[in-house]
Amino acid sequence: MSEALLELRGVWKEFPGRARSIVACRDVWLTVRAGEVVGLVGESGSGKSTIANLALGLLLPSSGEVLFRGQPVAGSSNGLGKELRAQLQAVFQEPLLALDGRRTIGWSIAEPLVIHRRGSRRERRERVRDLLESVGLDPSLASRRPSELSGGQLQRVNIARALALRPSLLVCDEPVSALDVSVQAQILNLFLEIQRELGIGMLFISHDLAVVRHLSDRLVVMYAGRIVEEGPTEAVCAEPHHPYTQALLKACLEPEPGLLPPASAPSLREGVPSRGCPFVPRCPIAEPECVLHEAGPTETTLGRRSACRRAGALLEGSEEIATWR
Amino acid sequence: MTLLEVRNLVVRYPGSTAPAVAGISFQLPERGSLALVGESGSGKSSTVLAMTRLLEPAVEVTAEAVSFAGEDLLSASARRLRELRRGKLAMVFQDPAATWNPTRTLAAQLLDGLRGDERRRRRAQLVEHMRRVGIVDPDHRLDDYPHRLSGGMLQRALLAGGLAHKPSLLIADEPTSALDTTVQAELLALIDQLRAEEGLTLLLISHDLGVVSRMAAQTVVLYAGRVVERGSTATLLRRPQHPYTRDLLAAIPRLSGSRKVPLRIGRLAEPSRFGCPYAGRCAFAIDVCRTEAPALRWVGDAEVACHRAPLAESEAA
Repeated sequence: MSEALLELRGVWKEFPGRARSIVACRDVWLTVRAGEVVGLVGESGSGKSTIANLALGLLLPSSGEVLFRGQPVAGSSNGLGKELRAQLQAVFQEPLLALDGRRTIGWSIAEPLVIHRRGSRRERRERVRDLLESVGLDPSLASRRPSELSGGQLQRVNIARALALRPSLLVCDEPVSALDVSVQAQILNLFLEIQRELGIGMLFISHDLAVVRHLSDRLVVMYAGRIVEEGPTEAVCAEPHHPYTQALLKACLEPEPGLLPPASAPSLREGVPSRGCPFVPRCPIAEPECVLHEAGPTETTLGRRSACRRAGALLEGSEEIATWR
Repeated sequence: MTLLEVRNLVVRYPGSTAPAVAGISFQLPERGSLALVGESGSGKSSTVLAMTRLLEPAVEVTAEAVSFAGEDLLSASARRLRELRRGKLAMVFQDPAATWNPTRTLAAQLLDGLRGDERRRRRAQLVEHMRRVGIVDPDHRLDDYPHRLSGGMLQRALLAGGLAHKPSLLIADEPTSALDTTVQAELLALIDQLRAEEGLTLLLISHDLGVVSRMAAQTVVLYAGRVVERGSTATLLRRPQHPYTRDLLAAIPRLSGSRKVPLRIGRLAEPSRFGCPYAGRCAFAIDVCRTEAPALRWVGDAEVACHRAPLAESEAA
């Protein structure tokens, strides 16, 4: 197995609230290995962006460790050295907000090179040219400002900038969610190409299961701050081991002719109970034990984890899933 | 009977050279369902805003007809339009956060302008409708401010508010785009149930062909303010005729089928100003496509605005 790049080890993150604190992520164990694409999927409030920010060192964990190549990512005195920091880069959702509107595209792409003192001025200019070309943009765009570019072009610029320091890991938080279908397809193709040619590891976060499935080797499903399921992407989609993953697969609408309107999902109830399994209010197979005690993630089959004590029952009833595929 | 007819609608924003909507037509029969599909800049939202007269007066709107239940919406008085929007015409927009005023309770917004007995009566009705759309404890929810409710619940409340006026047409502009996948499924199922129970007609505006495939019997595909394809949704998905419809379908990652392979998508280009607006992106474009705008014509079971249609089956791949 290749080297672990990013490791979250028993990570908790609490945000203080007025009445009680909010636990955005709770006992998360997650590894991204060199050259591997890990897809992280979950609904709003599931904690996926918190994971992205923890992985990048933009947030400190309340407890647990976030390591990049064995070194803690955040923290003032013992943070990543400059060398390691350069290897960890990010692409965010809103391409325009991620760029300085007053600076040229070329300046923005060169900025990490300047900060890390890479190359001479001339060498940097050449590198910007190469980077723009590698993300499918005309090098002449280097002199333009962000407001002159389309959303798709801007996201390519952000990707070019993230690649400038030749990173080994990209953390991508909803990088295609703000884009039109055609543009999204092009950016997804670009991610595939980058991954294939440069062998970069990726933590790819999205609310869109079909998008995550398309790119990832391994799939991690979050619900209410927990990882509820994890495994090889194809296996998880074909045979989910958690009722939430099953509900998510059911709820995905694909453009196929002659399909019925979506069946009413299991529940109209919302909220997460203060004890027991967080999915209980929406779960079709919950039993009394689930109300009292939350099951931690356990290995269901080789290389797969599920945080459902009834994962076995889910598999027995898998015809229901089959009708939906 | 036709409930809604839009004929040759043109919308021009001040200061822009090309019209945002360049002659769009469609008909929606009573109890029917029709989707306007397109990406940003296709003119789908401008069409709806122009139809319902929600655009600024400076925006130029012309049409041969925009008629709703036999009434001409373009010549209707402001007062009549308000009456319609609060009655026969229910609308749900994309972003619940932008639809609701954060400083007023749900009741204040849904029962705006009503007093005394009338208000009490309407509130009781509203509570009933909120229960029907799956809002738990509606009487208390009504006195909440919007931030206390999730996006899905706010959309439900908006639907409940619309239902209270016994609408005949529901216009839903990207009603679930801001919602999570499972919440989207719940809301769409609810809209479907209401259509069956109330005989509602649905005009859906969406960029999401997955949503459209489940909700609308008829689909109109828009590109650069023009109709490029129009027909039954099932036919359109099974045998898309216009190259743009084909490209759009191929660009969507699927839950089934191969992973980690490039999605088929040609180069992107601005809509062409002369000829067919898709000519600059189209893999099948020939000389005439660059000079002459194609008119909608019947090809098989659908109407298509393409000089090259019908494309051979072999070209479909």
